[in-house]
Amino acid sequence: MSNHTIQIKEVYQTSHLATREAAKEIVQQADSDDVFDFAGIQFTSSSFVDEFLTQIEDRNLDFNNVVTNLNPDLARLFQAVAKRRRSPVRA
Amino acid sequence: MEDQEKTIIKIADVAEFEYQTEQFFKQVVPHFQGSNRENILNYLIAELGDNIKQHSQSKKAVLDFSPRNQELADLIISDGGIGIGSSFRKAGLDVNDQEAIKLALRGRSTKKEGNRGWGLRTVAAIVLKLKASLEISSGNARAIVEANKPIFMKVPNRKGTTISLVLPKKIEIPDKIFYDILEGEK
Repeated sequence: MSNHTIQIKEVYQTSHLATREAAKEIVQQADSDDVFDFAGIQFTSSSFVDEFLTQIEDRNLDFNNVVTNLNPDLARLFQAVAKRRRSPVRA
Repeated sequence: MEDQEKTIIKIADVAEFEYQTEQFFKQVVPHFQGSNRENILNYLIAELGDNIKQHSQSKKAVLDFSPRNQELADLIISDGGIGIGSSFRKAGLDVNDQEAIKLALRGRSTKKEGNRGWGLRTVAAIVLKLKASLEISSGNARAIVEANKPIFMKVPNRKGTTISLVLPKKIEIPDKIFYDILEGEK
């Protein structure tokens, strides 16, 4: 199996990612064995992260296998969003 | 006198939207102090920007930054789209503009799938923690979020949504509390 690495910063020419649409595009256009490289991405919105996690789950991808080079702040944001996705839906 | 920074971004193009949001963020950050100011400002700008992209059906958004004085700065994010009320009504909820803003502030999303709708609720939580203020104008409703419960009022109808933040120039939220807010625990 030959993994292809998607350099997200190169795709969008930005170190900041805000939108759900970008997250959806990135994952949906990837092959199932592609790796998402966040090198150089400094910030994302939590909406981006939420959508990214949704897309990863929808494709049954293992987050730890397909995501690389999250900076510590981004890693913390992914953890926070993953945690709130498990909390009850508000009334 | 400090410069006013205004960025107008095209909604239709995702790459342009991401790029312009980043440029705006880079213009704004140097006006603020605080060890985690970048995380806080990014959250506010990116989250409100995504709301426009997701819900407004507008072709353009305006991101506008104005230092007000030594202590405060205004951050305004607006669009000429359908408004929060129409967005909820299109999703099948029978609400007026004021009720729609209330629902958004409580974390209700117009999206049916998944556990979504944290954006405006979390922005409001951050604003309260910063002792800042948030004003949301959409349709014929306006909400002001400050120290206490949000204040709602009816105003002349207008197209689109404008979100105005008045932020202290020194913004600091300890990391533990900041991430607790993002997790929905505050």
